[in-house]
Amino acid sequence: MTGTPIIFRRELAAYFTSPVAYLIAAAFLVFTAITFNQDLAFAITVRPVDPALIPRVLTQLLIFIAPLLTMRLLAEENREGTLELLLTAPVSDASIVIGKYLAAWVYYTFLLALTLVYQIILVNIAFPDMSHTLGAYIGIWLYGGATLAVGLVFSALTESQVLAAFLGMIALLILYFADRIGQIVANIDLGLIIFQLTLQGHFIPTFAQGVIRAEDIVYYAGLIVVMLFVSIRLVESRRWR
Amino acid sequence: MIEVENLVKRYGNMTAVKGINFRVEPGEIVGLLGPNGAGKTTTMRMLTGFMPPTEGTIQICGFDVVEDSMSVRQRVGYMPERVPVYPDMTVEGYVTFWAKLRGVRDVRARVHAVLEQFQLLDRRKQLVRFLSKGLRQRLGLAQALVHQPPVIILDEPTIGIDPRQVIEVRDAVRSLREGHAVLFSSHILSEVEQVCDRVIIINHGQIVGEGTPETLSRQLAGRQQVFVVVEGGSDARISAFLRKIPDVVHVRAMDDGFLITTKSDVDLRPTLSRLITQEGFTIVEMRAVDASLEDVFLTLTETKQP
Amino acid sequence: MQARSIVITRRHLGQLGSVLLGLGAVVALTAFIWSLSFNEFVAAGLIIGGLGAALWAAMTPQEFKAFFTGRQVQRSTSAIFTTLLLVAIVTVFYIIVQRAVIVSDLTIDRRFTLTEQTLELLRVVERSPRPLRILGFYRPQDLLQREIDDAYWQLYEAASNGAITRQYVDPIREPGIAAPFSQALAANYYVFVGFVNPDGTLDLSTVTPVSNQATQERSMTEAIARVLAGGSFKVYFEQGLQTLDALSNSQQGMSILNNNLRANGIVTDALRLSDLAQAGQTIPRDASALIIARPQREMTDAELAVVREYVERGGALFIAADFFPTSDVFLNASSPFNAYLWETFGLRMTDAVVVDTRSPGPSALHVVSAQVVTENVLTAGLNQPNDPSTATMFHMARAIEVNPQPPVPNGTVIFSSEQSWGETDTRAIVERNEFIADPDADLRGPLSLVAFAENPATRARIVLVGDGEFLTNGYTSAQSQFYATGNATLFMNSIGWLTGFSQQVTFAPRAFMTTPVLFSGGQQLDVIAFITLFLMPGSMLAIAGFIYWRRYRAA
Repeated sequence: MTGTPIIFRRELAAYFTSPVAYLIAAAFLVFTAITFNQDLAFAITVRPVDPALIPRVLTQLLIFIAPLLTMRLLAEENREGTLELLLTAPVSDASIVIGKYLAAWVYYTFLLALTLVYQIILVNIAFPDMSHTLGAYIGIWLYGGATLAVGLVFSALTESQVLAAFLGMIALLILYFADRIGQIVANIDLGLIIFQLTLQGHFIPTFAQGVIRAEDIVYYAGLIVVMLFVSIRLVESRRWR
Repeated sequence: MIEVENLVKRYGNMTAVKGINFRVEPGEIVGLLGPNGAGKTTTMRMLTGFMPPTEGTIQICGFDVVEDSMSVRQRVGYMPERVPVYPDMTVEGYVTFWAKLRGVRDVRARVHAVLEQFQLLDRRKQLVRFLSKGLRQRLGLAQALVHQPPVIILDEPTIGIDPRQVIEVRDAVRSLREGHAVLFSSHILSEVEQVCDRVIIINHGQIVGEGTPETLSRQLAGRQQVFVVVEGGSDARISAFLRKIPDVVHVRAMDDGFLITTKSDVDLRPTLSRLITQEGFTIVEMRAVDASLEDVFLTLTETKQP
Repeated sequence: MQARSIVITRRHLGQLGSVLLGLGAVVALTAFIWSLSFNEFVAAGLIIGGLGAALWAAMTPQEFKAFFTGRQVQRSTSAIFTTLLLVAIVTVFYIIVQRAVIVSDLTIDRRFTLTEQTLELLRVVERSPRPLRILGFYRPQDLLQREIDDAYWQLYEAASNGAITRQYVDPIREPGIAAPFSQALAANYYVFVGFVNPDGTLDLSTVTPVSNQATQERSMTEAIARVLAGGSFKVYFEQGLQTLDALSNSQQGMSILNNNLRANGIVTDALRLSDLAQAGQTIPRDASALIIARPQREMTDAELAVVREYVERGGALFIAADFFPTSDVFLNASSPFNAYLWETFGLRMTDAVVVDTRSPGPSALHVVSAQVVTENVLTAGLNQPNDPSTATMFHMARAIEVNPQPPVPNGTVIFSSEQSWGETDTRAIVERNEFIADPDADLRGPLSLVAFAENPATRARIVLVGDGEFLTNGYTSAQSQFYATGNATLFMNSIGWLTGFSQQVTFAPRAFMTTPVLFSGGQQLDVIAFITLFLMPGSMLAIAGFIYWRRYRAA
């Protein structure tokens, strides 16, 4: 794992020196700001603002943002051929994948931190439930980590960034929907099992309500671990494919 | 330094490398010569630990490539074909990254040293994407040497760059002889002759010739190639006819005509022209061609291929 | 070519075998962890895994051997196998954690933490010989709601150490279970709680609906309390004074409120004061309250004696006395019972009909509760802001006189408005529908319409209402033109207080600490919009542009 911090730093620097990453950040801020201002206008003097408002929006936004953040990570290395150099450097395959993944997660954390501006505004004009908000942010942070891990798999799978992003979005869309399952699956028990596999199913009923449930953390952490494992295997497969 | 024993690599049912053996000693530059698809890149990838061999063993500085992969990787400097780079990094950043990743102790000093060695010092703040192909090649060498590896493996270091840059790269490779074991691959005979102490020729995954450039040249001497464009019959008929001519070793359709490889060391052109005309065909064009390596291999491997 | 394709097939079969082995192991392990026993799923998983292993070994023996001897380099098979193994481990871990119910409540109002009151109740549930069950009806499309609710209900299951279990039913797939609940389901109740029979079925006679509100802990805890209290409270409807028929579902019956009581686990029965007086009996010992709803004649002295005896031993009375243009009207100003109430509770009925010109009801004689004294157990849920139907509505109500120096604590529950008066010329109203305020003869508003009193010594309680009609189905049915939910609320609150039922089942309302956004002026909103919509994304765009210019253009 000695290579992880070095790869992590290179990838993080790549994010922060890339104009595209800042464009993504701008889009991210515009979408969250629209929601925030809309909700604020409705909420004035009537009701408290939903403490999980921004995280709730992000559950949908991340389906599109996460693959854009991760598409480059391995697909580019693959296409440019730098992966061959990385795989012959004295670092394990796992440390390469993990280093890259952590960089994506940290960049996402930076994006998430930008949205704290909305919370700062709220504190100044109301008495919001900050601990509830904190819970929802922890949830969406993990949720984001999981979506990034899914995106990474597709970056490892293909050489084309566009394809990686596209496949990642489709996979996340499938993983996302929980409230629509009942309309697709008539059997409620099967529906419940699928529900437990969805990203939304572990966020809306708990984190968004201000509750942290251990099983949800296990779900997101498990998803991250499995997806990273698959990514590592896919990178490794370069050696025998 | 490099010891390869009975190396085999199979992809599914395709065997890319069929049991090769060779050694490279320190202070020696060895050229791995062969046409495209001969198994050069596969061999090198196994040497660097990129992919494991199906059978056989590779020892680098006494470490087994499979068992002790990390030790091997630390001791190998590798420049893959077409020099992969991160276009959005600076020259210095790029070399520093590889230095750190390979555990170089004094990163700054070493990066400075290799950049100086390959005359990249004045461009160290430039983005890699703005480098010319030749400069990228030098960057690839700087990257491969930054951790002072005892073994250097260069895959086609001169492909796709202009002649002046080729000379630069050759000089750079030649300068590495001191204390390093260098293995470099090429499909250009003359290049190998100029740079290497020893040449290993592989084709279809097998070693078909080995020796100093001089002995190889001698082996290859007396081959001639003639390119003819013939009219007056179907290609198949003409090709069959040409094959029957004595001393013709090989006929291959190329562009609009045929490339004929001959065995004899006398000029076969008069004989050819006479025989073709006698058969009732018309010669549109005929010229002698410098023996290309690919065709040399064909003659070398003639007896082994059915 | 022939040979080649066969080899590929073998390899694929081998791969399939390894996948089956992995899947089988996952199924078997998951099923085993889930049930902690060897059931058919475990067996099926093991069989699938065994077949997969056999297939794998038969088709690609070297690979199979190499996988288990460990010398093999990474291959697709082992990659897939190890991935499945990892998925299995994660799944097992997930299931273990899921069963442990580890929850941390971060809301500032502790909305996901059961209060001490609930926990106390759950300790009672734990000691109860019969377990309880929460039954929820969710259609497949309500899965998300079900999960949100389940986050609450599982707290109950965990805190009661399994004495409360959860059951979720799809009403479409299992209409048999849903059938007894169809009426409640139509009224938008979808969660119920009740005792479980020894045979595992739900005891339908104990089932009570859980009201569908945002404060779920309150609804559920109250529902559980109602189930526990079920059968221990019994109220009697007086049916001998030409009172409202508690069983009649006609407009003039009061079956709706009777059913409401029963749905809340209160047993109801009927008695006739005249029969008791004749037989020399008293009101039954198990009576938690006596309801005298809209009697149409005066009580006899013998009947009064029965009531007195009941009050003296701490009985509870709910009296809703209407105005009738007859001479023997119940609780007429000079009746002995009225005098008795005045001396015992400091309350008495007047013969004046309340006229409220400011009332938003259909006429000035329809008195809509104008003012409600500050929220207490009797007025809870009445006159809710933004919901006019939560007010009560009386028709031709009589004013109640409340003694300011009472013998026992008493008070008014509902007043008429300032503009109202008590019309003493009732003949004019009845005969000519005429009512004119006469400051000399008439009583001045605001007037008490509902009053209560309690004797702390005997624990005798009374709720006195100057109207009886408001209890009828005509006023409490959702189909009625005079429908006011406040009427039923007042009645239920009153019975709850009189019987002590609500004290046992009421969940103290919790104050929420979060506040709405304070209006701070349009200008401030503009500033916020400017910062969030333009300044922040704009700065990101500026950085992007700067980097592009510095790194890519300037070179």
